[in-house]
Amino acid sequence: MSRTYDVNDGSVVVVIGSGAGGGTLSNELAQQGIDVVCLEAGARLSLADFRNDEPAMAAKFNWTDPREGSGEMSPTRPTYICKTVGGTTTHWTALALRMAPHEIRGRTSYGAIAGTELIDWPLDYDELSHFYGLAEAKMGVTGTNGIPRHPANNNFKLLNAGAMKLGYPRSETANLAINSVARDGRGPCQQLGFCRSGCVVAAKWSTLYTEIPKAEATGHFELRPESMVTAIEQEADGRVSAVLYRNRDGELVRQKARAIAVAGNAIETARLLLQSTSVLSPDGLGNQNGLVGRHYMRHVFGRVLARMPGKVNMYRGIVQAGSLEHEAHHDPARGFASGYHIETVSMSPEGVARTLMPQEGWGESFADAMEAYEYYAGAIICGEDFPQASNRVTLHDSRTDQYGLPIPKIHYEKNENSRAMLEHAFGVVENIYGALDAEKIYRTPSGTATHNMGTARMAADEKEGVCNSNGRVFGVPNLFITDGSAFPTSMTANPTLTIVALAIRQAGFIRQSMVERAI
Amino acid sequence: MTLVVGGLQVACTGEESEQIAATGLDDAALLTLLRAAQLLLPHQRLATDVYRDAMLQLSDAMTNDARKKQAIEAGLAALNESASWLDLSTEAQKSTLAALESTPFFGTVREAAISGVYRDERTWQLLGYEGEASKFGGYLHRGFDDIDWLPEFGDAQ
Repeated sequence: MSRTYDVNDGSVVVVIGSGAGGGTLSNELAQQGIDVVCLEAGARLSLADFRNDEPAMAAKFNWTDPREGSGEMSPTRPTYICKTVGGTTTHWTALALRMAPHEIRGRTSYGAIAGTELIDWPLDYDELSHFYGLAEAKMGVTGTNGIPRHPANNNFKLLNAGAMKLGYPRSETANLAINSVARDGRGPCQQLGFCRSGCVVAAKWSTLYTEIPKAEATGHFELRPESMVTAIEQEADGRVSAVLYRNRDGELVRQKARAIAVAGNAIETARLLLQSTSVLSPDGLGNQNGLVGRHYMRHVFGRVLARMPGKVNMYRGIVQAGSLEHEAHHDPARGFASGYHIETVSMSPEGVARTLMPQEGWGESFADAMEAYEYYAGAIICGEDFPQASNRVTLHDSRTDQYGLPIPKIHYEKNENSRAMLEHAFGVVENIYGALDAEKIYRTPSGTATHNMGTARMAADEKEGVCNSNGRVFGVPNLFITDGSAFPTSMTANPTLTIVALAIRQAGFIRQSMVERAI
Repeated sequence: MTLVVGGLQVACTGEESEQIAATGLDDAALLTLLRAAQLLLPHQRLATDVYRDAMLQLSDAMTNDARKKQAIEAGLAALNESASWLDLSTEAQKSTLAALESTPFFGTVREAAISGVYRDERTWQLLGYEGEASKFGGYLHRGFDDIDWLPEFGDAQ
């Protein structure tokens, strides 16, 4: 029932990207009878292409186009996201956590934070909660809507036991967008442990096999994979009218549009806005205040690997089975604003090797440490990151990619608050593992980001952001931001649930605007 | 043929010798890389074949990558600058290799050794990693929650 639309059909909504934001928005609009053309840079895989094989799957769906990192980012591999139908929902680890009420009013809750341009979200928490509920029902999040939670695996049992030994209360497994029971035509989790390689049993929610086929079934949706958008065209009245993209044969195609939503992940979204220049927008769409690409956030992030006295076999089962929320609150007495989650994470031998090598060096001590593979427990710290104007995505002035486009550059450095938070968090995680007699603990910062946010942020005041609370770009009435780019702060929560909730909310706004002939 | 490398016997079949020749690296060069990989990741119980396969992959990659090829050639020359590196004592081999730590050669060999050795199922067996789970229905019934040495806390599961 998938439709095809003519490139000169200017009645369609063009959605750029098919991941959490773009895939969800596409389906929400198509369900309302609105015609959508979704342009996805990557190829379309099927479940039959998925393997329990990390490097093989990384080669199939990771975004490996050239990028340049600076500051604390890896110079050659600053991000770890996907270029495929379904976007990063193919390799996400399915933690579906809500933002906390104090986080939505960041500036009000925390006050001024040196070195940051902190603002409140221009949204009411109670209203957002309604959309969180819809997102959780759509994604089948455990611990919501009567869906049972998953049992704890070894890695989380251990983290939880260590925390309890320190006096923290018992935690349940996290709210996960992974079926614990059959639901929505998809089976339950088998504790495969390869969440990041594409879920071969489709127990994990991904737009690839939920939103996209559902949108196709409406007869109001066309997906065009391997279509890399190079520019959005703006008319003299401020409206956008078409997108230019390279199709799989490398040909340049112009697709007309009634409205355009950008959901390319915070790097590509900012990049596309910056390279879409017009008479009205000489510095890029929505960039009249020079804010596009700025305020890039990636969470205060660190990884801990702990060598325990007994076997853990952390690789068995759900990669991020649990998240400890004990330090997620705001308590300035700890010496920093906001807080962080402590989330389990597993690593393959290769991942452990790359973590240990910088600290053990090479040779016998490294090999001994590797041979204790079964004894490692793993966790990540995911803390709230605040916007800094100097952390930003820009276009390279000389290097271009295979499409002939300037490659994106990503600069990121922690501020004083983030440094204090990360130090505190590493200490707490070390205490947790130490309480169970960890033999050695490795702290690892990461120069590679999966959570990318803030580069086209929403704001109540047009001078402080790129879009409004509906994701509509200031000064461009029919252009929308539909991904983590729109986040004013990173929250402590992993971003996907909030991206989905905002996409559902935005779909209602776009529909209403069309009914009112505003777009 | 059988070659002796740093005290380890490396058996090469005729077919494998041809494979080595096809990469453009001569036997001595490949054996040097193999020995370097063993010194970087010295797992005593791991078959030499695992290291050799990792370095054969690097050798293949070199044929399409001029920068890698240049880095390897420069490193091999540096290792053998004052004496035949393979004939040195283990300690002398280590210190010569360590002196090259900041070179592209070292980084290239280390990267190839890590990805080659730790993606190899023979290494997984040594480490106790079971890998692909879909073939047996996941770890749901194969120990995902079998940890038995944690302290209990009142209502602990």
